[in-house]
Amino acid sequence: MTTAPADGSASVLERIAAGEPNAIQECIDQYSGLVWSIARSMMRTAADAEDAVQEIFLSLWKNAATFDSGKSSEKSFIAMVARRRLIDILRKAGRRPKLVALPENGFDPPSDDHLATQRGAEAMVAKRLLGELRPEQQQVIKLSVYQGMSHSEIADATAIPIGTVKSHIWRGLNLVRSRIEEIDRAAGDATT
Amino acid sequence: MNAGHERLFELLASRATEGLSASDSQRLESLLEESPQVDAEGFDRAAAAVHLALLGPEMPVPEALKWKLAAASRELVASRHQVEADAAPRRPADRPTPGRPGAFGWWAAAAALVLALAGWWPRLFTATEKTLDEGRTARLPVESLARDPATLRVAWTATEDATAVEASGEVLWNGERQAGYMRIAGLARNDPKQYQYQLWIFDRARDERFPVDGGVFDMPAEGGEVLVPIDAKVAVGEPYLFAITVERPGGVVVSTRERIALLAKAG
Repeated sequence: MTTAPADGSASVLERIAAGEPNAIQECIDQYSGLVWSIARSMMRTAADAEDAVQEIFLSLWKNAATFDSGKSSEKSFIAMVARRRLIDILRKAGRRPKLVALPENGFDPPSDDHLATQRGAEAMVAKRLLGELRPEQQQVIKLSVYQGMSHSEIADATAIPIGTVKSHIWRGLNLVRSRIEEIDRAAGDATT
Repeated sequence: MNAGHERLFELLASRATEGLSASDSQRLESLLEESPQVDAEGFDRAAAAVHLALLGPEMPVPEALKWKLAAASRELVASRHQVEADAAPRRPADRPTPGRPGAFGWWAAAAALVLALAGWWPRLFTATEKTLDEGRTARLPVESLARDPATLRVAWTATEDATAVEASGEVLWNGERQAGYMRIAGLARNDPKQYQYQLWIFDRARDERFPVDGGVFDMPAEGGEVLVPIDAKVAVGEPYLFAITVERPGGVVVSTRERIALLAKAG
């Protein structure tokens, strides 16, 4: 999903890649809240999340040139890089699951208006598709993606067989992936 | 979807959610080579989109983390400048901006500082070291700067300004990296709409009437020790005095030096 700035100006990551020093601070100003929130959702303690956020930003700055505005929005790319670092950190630490009670009524995702204005089209697509899944599938995907729990931890916490957990995750993500790619293709066809 | 694709997608989904073992990573690489038409990052992007969809309103970032990030960014910029400087002839030093002279205040304070420093140093360093968690901070860029033998470390001395009654800490500056930061504890919390703090760096290579602007900053409500990255607006050659003044919101180009909160004399 291409989300380059409407005025044709370069995004903050593209300006970092071009060597513009001010863009690095802009990146912090613009995305530290997002990265911090993602880290807090997956890490058990604030101290762990703080360490992780610093690693994530260093990774973003040094790899800014790999961002392709033709493949994803900048926010989505940053979320992807953040998640990769967090998953690495969790694996190296032997994975420490968050010890929080599972919400009885599921999670409370942001409103459509908030998503549309703050998180972008990919997030809107993901929310709509998640809503179409069975409650058990939704719960597994939320525990995996949002809370960073491993597949075996989810199986233990929910009493769902591990094979079913894995199946729910990959089928659910595959649905989102396929839909985003369809939209990208349609957008590409419309511009050619 | 054939069985090969199903296994490929399972591995991509696992990588995007919990990571892979070394053997699964190898298997994934092999399957991706067999299916070059598959977007290797598709599941990662899908997981990111799901995460963004589930994330509530963004949480406020802790002030200490903001400062650490800013310090890290400055260090990165300085490293880049160093690489560029190594590859190209050095440009002439920036000329100081003409402004209002007012050297007496600085020199009077600096003279007083010479007497005060002898008793301050050991106490300040003891207190500072106690606040460090060596295991955690050793990985931070700011700590790599602190451990660099080329880094100048000078303790702050409080003046009689009301903001600095209980203030202490130190300033660290690395000339090679053109980066540094301040540790400050006990300096009064400020309302940024009323006034802000501003750092000035006196450089032997410059007219003392025109110290280098080291950046404007605030003290947070939480109190305790804070890290403030130094934001020198031009290259600093040989610093001999650091001073923090109380200024109007946004800072000033040339300080009237009416309110000096902290001083640190180097050498």
